Amino acid sequence: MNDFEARSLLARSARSSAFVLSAAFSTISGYARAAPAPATSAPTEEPATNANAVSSPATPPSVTAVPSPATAPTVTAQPAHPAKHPLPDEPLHPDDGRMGTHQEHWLFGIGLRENFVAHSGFDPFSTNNVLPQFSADAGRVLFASGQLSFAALALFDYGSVKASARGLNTSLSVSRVTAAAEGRYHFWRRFYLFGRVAPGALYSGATLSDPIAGGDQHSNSWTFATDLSLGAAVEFAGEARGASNRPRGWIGLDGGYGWAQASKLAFKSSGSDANTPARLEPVELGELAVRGGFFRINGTITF
Amino acid sequence: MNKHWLCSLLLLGCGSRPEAWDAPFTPTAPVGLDNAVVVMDTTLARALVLTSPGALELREDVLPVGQHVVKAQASPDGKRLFVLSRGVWPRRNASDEHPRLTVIETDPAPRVVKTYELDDPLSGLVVDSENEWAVLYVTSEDSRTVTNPNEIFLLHLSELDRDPIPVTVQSLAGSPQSFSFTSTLDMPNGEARRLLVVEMQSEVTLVDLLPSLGNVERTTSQVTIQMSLNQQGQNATPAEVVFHDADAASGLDPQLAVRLQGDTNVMLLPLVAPSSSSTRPFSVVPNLVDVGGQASTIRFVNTDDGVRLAALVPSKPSAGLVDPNTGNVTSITLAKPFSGIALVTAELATDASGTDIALLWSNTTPTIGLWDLGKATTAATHGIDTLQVGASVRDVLNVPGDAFPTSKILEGQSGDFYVLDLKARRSSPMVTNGRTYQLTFAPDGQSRRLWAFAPSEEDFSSVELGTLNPTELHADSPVWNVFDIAQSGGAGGRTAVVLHHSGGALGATVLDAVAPDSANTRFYSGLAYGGLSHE
Repeated sequence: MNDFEARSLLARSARSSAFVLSAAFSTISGYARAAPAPATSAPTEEPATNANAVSSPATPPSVTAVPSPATAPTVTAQPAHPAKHPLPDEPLHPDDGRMGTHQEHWLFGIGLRENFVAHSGFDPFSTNNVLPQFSADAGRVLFASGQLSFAALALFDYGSVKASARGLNTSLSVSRVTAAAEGRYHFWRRFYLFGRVAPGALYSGATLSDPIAGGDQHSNSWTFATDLSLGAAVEFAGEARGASNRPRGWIGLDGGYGWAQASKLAFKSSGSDANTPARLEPVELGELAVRGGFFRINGTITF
Repeated sequence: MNKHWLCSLLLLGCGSRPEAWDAPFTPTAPVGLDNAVVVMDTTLARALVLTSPGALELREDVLPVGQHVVKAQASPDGKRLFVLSRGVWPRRNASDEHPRLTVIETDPAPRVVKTYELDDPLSGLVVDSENEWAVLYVTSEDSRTVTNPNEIFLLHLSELDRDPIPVTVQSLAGSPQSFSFTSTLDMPNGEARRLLVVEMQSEVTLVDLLPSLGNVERTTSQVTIQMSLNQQGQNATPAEVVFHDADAASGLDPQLAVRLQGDTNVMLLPLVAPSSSSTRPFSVVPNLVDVGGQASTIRFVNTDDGVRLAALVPSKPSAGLVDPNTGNVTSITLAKPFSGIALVTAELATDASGTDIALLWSNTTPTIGLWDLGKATTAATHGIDTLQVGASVRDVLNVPGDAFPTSKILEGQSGDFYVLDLKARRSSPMVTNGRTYQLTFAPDGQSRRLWAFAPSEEDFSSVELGTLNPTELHADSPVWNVFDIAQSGGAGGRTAVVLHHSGGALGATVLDAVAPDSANTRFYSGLAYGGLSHE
């Protein structure tokens, strides 16, 4: 099996999986209307010129999934009242079999990240080791070659936990800002594995409520942080055509290790409270290192 | 292997934090040592030891003690702390902790110097004022299926490696209520020794404290004296026991005397030579003496007529001087109903007559008296000088250390207190705002200061005993207790540690104990977290 044959197989497989995912997603978001399945709505969604562009001479002639020129007029000759005269289930925009925007795109995603912080410095702020975080990322695939591609991303994670330490309220909020380099390998157009290195900075803001010290005391710090993760993403919504520049929906799952430099937990008063004792010494609770394994699930839109 | 990975992952992900973070902070009353303040963190079975390495510095060390602490007591010299704990009860596993006694020292650094495991929980602890012995005993809080309420354990403090000595105190019907130690007494038969005096409901038992004595010998050599019948026909209850050593000049045997509750009699207990066939060091020949009224306190004193037992009878008011050899009572009428007596001979004696000088005070009239017992039977005034103070006296405190030997602190019933200079016969009032203040000193008296505070108030005071200048001080949180400790850095400085406690929080304001100033302090909080975090 040569590369072109493999790509054809992948394309067929991707088409069927995309159909299932698109149908599923249509019940949630209605986004499936942009897909070619309902022939009646296609003419209003997609100009005929696009179909022509798909079968442009630039398309490799051996890609069997590309519709023949004979089918193109069928699309343009679609009747005005499809309910009375249903047409055969033919795609409006035939799959070009290319990676295209499956691989090379801008992306924006949001998700949930679960950090498992086993460091003892985390104990005052949580009754377990879990730090749940909201996660957002944005980026661009900068380079693609065959099934390989490389993307650059900016990621932001934010989460907070609350607990009590010997009866006194505590809280910790953690923000992580990283710039990631991501290597991808597309097994199919709609599925790829990736590895990511994301160095950046981590901000932790800890609060300790201390009635004899006049209220809340704070310990805030910025530290260096890096995430190393592996993951996979599957495209659940989007046109099969690689040339399509319509948005695509992806679900991704990645996991790895988030390392962060340790910071000193030295709680100080903000200094603005009149109830704060004079010359209050910081409360030293050792060090905090928000580091440990994590996984993240996120939804991404590419375009 | 897969299972292990899964377990590890779950532990890593969902592992809970150490239970200590969820444990409430419930401390016992803080205890002051020479150079440390100790707070028992009972829920975590540990002692938080606060020391001051330098000026305005506070260091916290955490030492393990037994679980379920029931008592923490400092030795009178402030060098050691004794902590009694109940352990785990009921014990189901071999690893469950036994009741124990933990001995802590803080010089040069805080550490546990000895731990004794006990078979059963004990919550009674008395430490000898001469720092030689300690007694562990059963109290009503030590609930058991079968209790031997007379079981005590003697701890010889100069031999900490020696196991506690078990002794069952002889008794006809009672159980130990309080303990006191005599000084070394010359015995009629055998070497001089100290005695442990055990007061029970209607008896007094003397336990021989000769260190070399075997356990069986110590148990069998006890002497139990039943108290006399009182006016209600019941055996009287001992209220106070005092002692006096043998006096070769007057041929006096070593003596003990017992004041009886609600009784006009006092019981003299001379320790006389036993029969020639006996190997016991002494024999007791009780003698009952009526002092003419219910005595509020008794004390052996040296008068111009020899050793006497002085019994203050405020209801008359009078003082009975009992000749221990004959039992004869010389009644001296007092101008005021004095109820308390303390010997101040060492502080005031100017001649070598050997007679005592006593400070008298009253809990009902604002008068104190200085009683020169060298004139007790010869002078018309019986040697008593009186001095008006502003209030009747609740208690008299000694000033620790050598700096102010002639100063006494009189705690008034009204909340005011007075600094009494015995030599100058002058009483200086320290007027308070009406609250009852707790007064405390450095255990070694080195800071030359007295500290006065009212728990849960933010303002407190320090009085320089040389100038009697009070310094008003303020803490930014309600005061729990105040301690004056030596700095542990060896520089000779002193630090005042003002503790604050609220809910789960423990903190301290630290200031210079020699020159205290509210504007020169440091506030340390989060002390309940000591030892929980890891660097």
